Amino acid sequence: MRIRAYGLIIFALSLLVLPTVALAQEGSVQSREYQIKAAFLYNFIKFIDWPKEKERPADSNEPIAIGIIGEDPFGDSFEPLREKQVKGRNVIIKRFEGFEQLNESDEHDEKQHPKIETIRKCHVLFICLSEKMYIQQIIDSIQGYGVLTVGDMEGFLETGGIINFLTEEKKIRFEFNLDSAERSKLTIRSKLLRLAKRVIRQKDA
Amino acid sequence: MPKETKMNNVEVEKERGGILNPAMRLMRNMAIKQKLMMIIMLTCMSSLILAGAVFLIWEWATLRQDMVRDLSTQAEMIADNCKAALAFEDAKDAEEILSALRIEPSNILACLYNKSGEVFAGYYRNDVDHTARPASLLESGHLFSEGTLVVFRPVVLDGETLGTVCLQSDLQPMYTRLERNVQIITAVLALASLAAYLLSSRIQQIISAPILNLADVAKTVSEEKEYSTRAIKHSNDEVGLLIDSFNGMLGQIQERDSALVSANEKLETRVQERTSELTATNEQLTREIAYRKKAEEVLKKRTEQIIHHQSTLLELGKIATSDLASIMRATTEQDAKTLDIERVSIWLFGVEKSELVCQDLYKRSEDSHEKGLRMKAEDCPRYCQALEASRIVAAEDANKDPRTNEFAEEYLQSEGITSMMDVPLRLHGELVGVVCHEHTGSTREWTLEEQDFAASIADMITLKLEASERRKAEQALRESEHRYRTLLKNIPQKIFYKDRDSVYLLCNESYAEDLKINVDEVKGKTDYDFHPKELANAYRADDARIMALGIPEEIEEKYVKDGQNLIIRTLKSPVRDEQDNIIGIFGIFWDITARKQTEQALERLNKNLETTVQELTRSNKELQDFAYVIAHDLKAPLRAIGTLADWIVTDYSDKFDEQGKDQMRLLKGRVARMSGLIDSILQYSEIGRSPKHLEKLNLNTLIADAIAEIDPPGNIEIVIENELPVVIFERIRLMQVFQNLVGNAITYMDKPQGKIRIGCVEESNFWKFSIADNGPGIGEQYFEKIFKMFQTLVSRDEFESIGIGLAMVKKIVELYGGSVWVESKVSEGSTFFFTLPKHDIGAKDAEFEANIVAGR
Repeated sequence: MRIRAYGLIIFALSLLVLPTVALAQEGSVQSREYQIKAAFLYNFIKFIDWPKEKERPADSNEPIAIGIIGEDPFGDSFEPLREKQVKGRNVIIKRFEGFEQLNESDEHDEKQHPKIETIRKCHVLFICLSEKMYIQQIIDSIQGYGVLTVGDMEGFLETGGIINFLTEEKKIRFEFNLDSAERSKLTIRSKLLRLAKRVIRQKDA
Repeated sequence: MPKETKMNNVEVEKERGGILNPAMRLMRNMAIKQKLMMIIMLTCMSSLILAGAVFLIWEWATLRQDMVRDLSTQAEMIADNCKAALAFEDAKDAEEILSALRIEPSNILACLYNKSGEVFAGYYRNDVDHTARPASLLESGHLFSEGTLVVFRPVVLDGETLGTVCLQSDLQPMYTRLERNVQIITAVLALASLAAYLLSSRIQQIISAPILNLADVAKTVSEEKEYSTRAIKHSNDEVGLLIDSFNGMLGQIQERDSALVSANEKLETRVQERTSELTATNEQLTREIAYRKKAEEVLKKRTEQIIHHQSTLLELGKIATSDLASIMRATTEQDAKTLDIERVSIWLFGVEKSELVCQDLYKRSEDSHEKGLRMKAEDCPRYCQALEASRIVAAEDANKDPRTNEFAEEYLQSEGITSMMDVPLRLHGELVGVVCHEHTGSTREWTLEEQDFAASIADMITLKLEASERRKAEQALRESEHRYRTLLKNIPQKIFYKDRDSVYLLCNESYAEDLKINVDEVKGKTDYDFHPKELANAYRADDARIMALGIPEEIEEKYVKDGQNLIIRTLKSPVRDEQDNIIGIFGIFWDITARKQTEQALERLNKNLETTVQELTRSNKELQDFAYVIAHDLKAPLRAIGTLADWIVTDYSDKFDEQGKDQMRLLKGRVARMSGLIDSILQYSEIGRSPKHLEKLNLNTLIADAIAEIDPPGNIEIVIENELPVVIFERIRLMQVFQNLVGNAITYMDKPQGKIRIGCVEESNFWKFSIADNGPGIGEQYFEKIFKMFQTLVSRDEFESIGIGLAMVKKIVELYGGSVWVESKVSEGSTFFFTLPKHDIGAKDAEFEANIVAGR
């Protein structure tokens, strides 16, 4: 009896799971790619240590914030991750307009811009392809605030980004700029570093 | 199942016996020295082996634990290192980490499973196929399977399980270590046993030496039978005790040995003594046997005699006749012949028991019988006393024996009798006679057999006497029964006898006839067999009640005979046995239907009569009352008419002519007569109306008063014939009776010289009075008529008579229970009789007395 009951429960569960799997498979190559990237963004948080005020804030319930600036390519890729906690804290996604629009909408001093303040408080900032022209400016405005900058475009590291996604043999890989990380007061664990396709380190050179 | 188990046990037993028993047997036969050594060695070895085994098991368990711990540590490290590889799905990196396991050759394979259970990366030893997988997959923990140890550890990153590390290792290192341990233990065992052997061979002597010494002594004692030898004691332990007891035992044996020798000697003397005793007993036995033989001969003789006696008795017993005299003749004769005696006689007491009468005397020498001799009891008191007291009077010398010497002079010496043997005859325990055996010649000793025979003869005669007595009694009984049967048979009443349960035992012919059966068929039947059920029930209920109460009853009940309902009177009486228990019921009944019917008819008639009388009395009374009222009411106008007539005569006497005066006189006369008539009727109806006024009356004076009142004419003589009695009566009424009767006699007297006689005769319970005259007399046809009202034999005008006097007399006399009648001859005269009951019997007298006292 009990075995049969368990069997029934498993069957019912599989019925619930199957459609989601099917949906995921149906998704386009692009959405599949960004689903993985979204997951990787979460995982990076686990292997990276932030400066003290961001790692252990006064309010322990303060969520870890992931900012996305520019034209968001993730779509609903974060949806499956919404409930997940990282390092015992909730994760929230904050989306920002392009850097140009930010400046246009407000004529204030760009350094004192309230939106820029918000971005500075983020743990991670994903810089979309649309912001390729303003990468340098974005990075400059948040330099020293402990923000992990992630991108997926060629030359991202060279312009001052910390982590860059790239695709190799249909697999998502990543590379680091340890100097940029150091500048942003971030420590990347060796376990993560082992996996990097390429690590840029000025000091070594 | 239990049976099988049992069988197995048996087999085990057998097996054990098969293996162990020979070993035990071998050990038993060994010398003590070797036994001791063997015990020490075995003990040492077995404890060592046990210790080694425990050590090995302990070692094995520890090694296993260590291996699990080591492998778990390795797996843990790998899991930690693989976190990032798994998180970022970098299989190459993972495999790199896993390949570090190569260092340890016992590692067979390692697998890294991702979250969905697929193999993400693997490491395989050179000799292992790359498709090999552990037998099962756990999330965490370890398991031993097929000589390998498999350890599982989860890969956890930031609280999230990313996959599982699985490490499989063979147990070779553990086995290698265990092998080495076994080798060491074996070596230690070998060394230890050698040491034990050397030590034990020295130590055992402490115990074995004294025992061996004791064994030597015992052997010496048993072989040489020298019980004085003693073992030497070396120590105070159990062996020392054993030697002490052994020495003690030897001492006891020594003592017993000497006791046995002396006992043997005693036994021999005893045997000699017994032998001599037996010889003496044997001689005595021989003497006894001789004596017994002699006794046997005597016995044989006696037996022959007894047989002779018996045959005589038998012959006598065969006598068929019932005639007592001839039986006695035969008896005396046979008796005398059998016992060889001169005289045998039988005597019986007479009715008064004062004398003995000889029934038969046989004299053998003359072969003659005689009878009728008499002997007074008072002449021989001692003899009679002896007969009363003893079973037999056997006198060897009759002339000297105190019991019989009363006869010596008169009888014994004259007849030449020397010895007597007299047996009393007893009937119902009472002495009734005697059988006498009288011997002549030299005195004779009476043997026991002869006495017994004589007693038997007496018994036989007693039996015959008894039989004859019984025959007589039976005859009497038969006659009485016949009488009783005849009575029963002829009696018209029905008679029956039932047992305790109301079952018929017998009935008489009369009843049987009613029941339509034979007399002997009634036995065993019940009332239900003969009578309707309800009657039977009633009869049986009566039976039960009478038997329960034990009192006879007389019952009237219903009875049906030939379909006719009868009434019977039954007398039932309980029957008792000698112990006064009620054993049945006796009944006699007879038909009383006719009598009953008569009684009933009579009763009915009586009742009718009573009603008639009552009615008559009532109508009479009404008539009387009516007459009285009429007469009373008529009187007043009549008086008025008379007064008026007087007035008319006085006032109009001058105006009436003679005819008128005459008619007026006639009128007055008629009125006067009418008035008299009414008075008479009033008087008549007064009788019985007013309460009786009884008193004691002397008739002599009463008659004189009555006559004086009548004042008879001179030509009539009244004579009172005899003295008249005193009676209790109503004065006025009695006066009326006499006045009327005497007055009538005077009134109708037709003779110039009239004579009236008054008389009285006393009968048993009444007085009879008579008043006789010598008048005209009355025709017989008028004897009844004259006593009726308004009946006169002569016309009114001739005699002034109303015709009510005699009716009044009749009424008065009858009212007081008497009667009145007349006897007469025409022209010669008449005699009137009347009776008055004497009021001297029982209640009536008392009633009268009471009335007198009350002054009524």
